[in-house]
Amino acid sequence: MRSALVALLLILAAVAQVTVAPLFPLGSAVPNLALLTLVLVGVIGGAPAVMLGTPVLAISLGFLSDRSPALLLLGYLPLLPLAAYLDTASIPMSRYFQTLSTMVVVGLTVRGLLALAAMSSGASLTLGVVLWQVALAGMIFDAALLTLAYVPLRFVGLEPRALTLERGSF
Amino acid sequence: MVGLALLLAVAGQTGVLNPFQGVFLKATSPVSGAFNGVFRPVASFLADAGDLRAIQAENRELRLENEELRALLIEGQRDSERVQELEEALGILERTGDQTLVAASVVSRASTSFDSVVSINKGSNDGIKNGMVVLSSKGTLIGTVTKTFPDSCFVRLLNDSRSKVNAEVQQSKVRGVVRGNPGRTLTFDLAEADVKVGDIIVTSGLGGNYPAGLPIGRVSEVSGTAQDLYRKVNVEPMVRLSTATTVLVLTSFTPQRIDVSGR
Repeated sequence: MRSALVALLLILAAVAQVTVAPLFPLGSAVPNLALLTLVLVGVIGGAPAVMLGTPVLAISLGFLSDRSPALLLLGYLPLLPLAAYLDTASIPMSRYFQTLSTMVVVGLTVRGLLALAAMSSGASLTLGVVLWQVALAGMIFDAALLTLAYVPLRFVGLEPRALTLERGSF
Repeated sequence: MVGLALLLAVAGQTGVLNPFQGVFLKATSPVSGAFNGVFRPVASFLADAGDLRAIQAENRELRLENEELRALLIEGQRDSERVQELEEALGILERTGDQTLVAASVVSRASTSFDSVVSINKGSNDGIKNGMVVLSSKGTLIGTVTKTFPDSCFVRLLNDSRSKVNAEVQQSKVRGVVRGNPGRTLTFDLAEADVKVGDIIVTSGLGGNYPAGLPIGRVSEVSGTAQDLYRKVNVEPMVRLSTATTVLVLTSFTPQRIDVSGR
């Protein structure tokens, strides 16, 4: 039941990414609502929810946006290992900054892979464009969105969960 | 997970996923419609509120343009009547209905800094095929069909950085290529003669992928010096591609070379 809810939520997030997100652009960047939802699912549901949600989101978004689901899946792939690493490594960082770092890095990976795919199919992208219009604008957008979403979560008393995969959980 | 990605890559290349994608698009279209219905007016209101001054100025310009167009319309009607009279006198039969258009609504759009793709609610069941030309409701070129399903299809818009259209200046017939650029902008490249701000760019028909004479946009900026081999020419599309909600697919024109590969 909980798995079905996670899958449904991420399908809705993918639909919102192709219908709602393009309506609110910042320059030439659009908010990554799909990634934000996946990160929040991880924060609330833990690692198993991300394990289930990542392929569901990649396939849904790939189908809806006519992009390669495989490429999107590879883009979202670093989420879990990175979050787990930040959990276990003794870096003095609050849970919020751990989540923020994870989201920014995964956002960069997804955008970078999509930029490479566009270049391989004939788009004339330069390094400057990729850095400024794709990477930097995306990073700012992702950080702002996560911060906006994090406040109500803390307000209702939801304690972020660690994204470390526990031995024997699967 | 990497194994699943590889499996998906292979399935995507062989087209195994296409039927599933068609079903998924059909199943999610009511949700897309609901999201569009709720959020589009909000976005439109916010955009208008931010551009109040620009809208007022545009309104004044449009009123003036409207008056000029009314005068031209009356003149055109007179000319049309005259032409009809002459054709009847010469026994020329006017060909009508040689263009078939299918109207469709934009369901969703995938846009980043370098790509701009929309999906519409008509597909192969309505006679739409890959490579067909897509126009705005005002008849200007906005893109090309890249992938079709029975009830929907994907359209790559002109401002996608993978889009290229052979075009010419309507007045001077100077030829070039209209290209989508990162940041969803349009440029008129490789024009070998002077192009002025305000010139109208239309399709040239070269290459056979688009019919000749379809309006694309208006030249908004020309930069560079007279010594440059090619100047940088920015083009403003006739319609706002990011907010188009109704489009027309030109089903009567068959492109000679279909090149819609790349995702």
